[in-house]
Amino acid sequence: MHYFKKLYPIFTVIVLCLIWELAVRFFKVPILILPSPSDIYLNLVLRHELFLTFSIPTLIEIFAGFFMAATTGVMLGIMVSFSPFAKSSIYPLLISSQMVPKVAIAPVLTIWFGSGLMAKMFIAFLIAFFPITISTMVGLEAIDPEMVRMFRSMGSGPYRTFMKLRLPAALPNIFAGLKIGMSLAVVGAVVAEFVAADRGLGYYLLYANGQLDSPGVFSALVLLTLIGVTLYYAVEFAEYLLVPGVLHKETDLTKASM
Amino acid sequence: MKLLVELKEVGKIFPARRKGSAQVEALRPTTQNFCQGEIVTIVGPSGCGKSTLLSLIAGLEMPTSGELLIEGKKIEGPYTGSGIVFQKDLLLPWRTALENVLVQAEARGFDPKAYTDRAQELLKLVNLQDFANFYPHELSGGMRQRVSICRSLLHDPQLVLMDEPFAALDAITRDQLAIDFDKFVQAGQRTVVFITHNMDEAVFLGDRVMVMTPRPGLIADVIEIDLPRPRPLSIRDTPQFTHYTAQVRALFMKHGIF
Repeated sequence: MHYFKKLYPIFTVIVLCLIWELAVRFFKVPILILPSPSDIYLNLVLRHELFLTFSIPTLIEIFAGFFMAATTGVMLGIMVSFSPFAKSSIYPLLISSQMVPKVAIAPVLTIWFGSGLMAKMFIAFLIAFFPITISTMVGLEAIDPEMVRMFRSMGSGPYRTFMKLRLPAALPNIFAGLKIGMSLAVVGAVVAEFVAADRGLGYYLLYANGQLDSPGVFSALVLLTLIGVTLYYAVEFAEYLLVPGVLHKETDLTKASM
Repeated sequence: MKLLVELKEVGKIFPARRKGSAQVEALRPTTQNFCQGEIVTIVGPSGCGKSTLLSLIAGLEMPTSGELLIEGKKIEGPYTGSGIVFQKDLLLPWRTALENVLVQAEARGFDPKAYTDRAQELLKLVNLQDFANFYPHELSGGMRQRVSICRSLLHDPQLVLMDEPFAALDAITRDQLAIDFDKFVQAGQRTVVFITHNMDEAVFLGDRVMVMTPRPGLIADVIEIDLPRPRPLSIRDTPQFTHYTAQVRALFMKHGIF
């Protein structure tokens, strides 16, 4: 029964697709305005080779950007929470750096890094790393100082206290940040492809749009959504493996709205 | 009896927090001795410096004057030969009761496997043998505090420091723990310093009661409690017991606490 409940959202999607399909047929909506789910499905099947070759670069960009964001974000979060000096000198800059519209820097980055993987990875990284840094920091600082005192009284040094107390206590927060970061990395990669690219799903989406190929646009959208959802659940699965069950909590994805 | 802890004119002054505010004398220079195997309770109103005194003995705070010796050695950092029970149970939520007891070994860098048997034994001593694999959120407040007592005893310390360990518990649970207190700490073998703000508790548990008064923190008097151990709850109704509590109350009245 418990696992069955997890399938409920899939039923919802099926029902919605059915309504969509019937509505498009019943009201005779032109395919240019809104293709029906079956049109999109046929388009995906018909041109599956093309979509496969266009998905791979986007996947690599998302992955590379996320990986960079995850390592940098967690490191920065640890640094800022450990050193008062780093906190006072870096943290305010981190906050104000979020006021810079990163999407707007994308063209500049394209000038610097060209239209290859590098620029796209970097844009995905820039968009994704901030929530990871902040949640790592929040997680590490939410620890009861009494607990730290207790570890100190047992003769535990900073490293052991970090490994046995701070890190496990901060893991749920770190993973909350990683999940938000993952969904933002997808946004970053697509935006980067909008600016300058000769391959990738984002690039294809713009191209199909220019051709008034609505089924093509929607196919790219469906694939991007699938990639995003899959990667999100991959992070959730890693969390399931690494974080003790009693600490699991829901991630508030509304924070990731872009 | 052999001396374990010696306080020689030990005082603690906290510097002024803000410009213009006065420094706080948390502990007026105090000379006291704690012998091996005795249970000393320290009773006083909140803010009288009793927790500061405990932190000084634990080596978590350094005195601003005088010196503190344990087994003849001057204390200059956390004294790891002690086991501390804090007011909050400070159990790690992602660890079971047994694993929480083993924190004491892991924080010291010892192999927890070598301590598992002893941890089980301690849990049995406090009647929690059936709850070894329960997580803190599955245990009651009294059970959690018993786990934290086991944690403080894992390394078989000769000095046990207890900072209002029963203060957050309800009256009945507190009495239940008080009855078995001698058994838990193996009275007569370990030196116990027990902080409380409850006069009854202080007289019931202590071989000696140190009465503290605030501003500045000062041990006003030390009362020897000549009641046989182990003590049943009914001892509280005896004239000798009420005589002792009356003595403590009289001291507080003399110092303007009441």
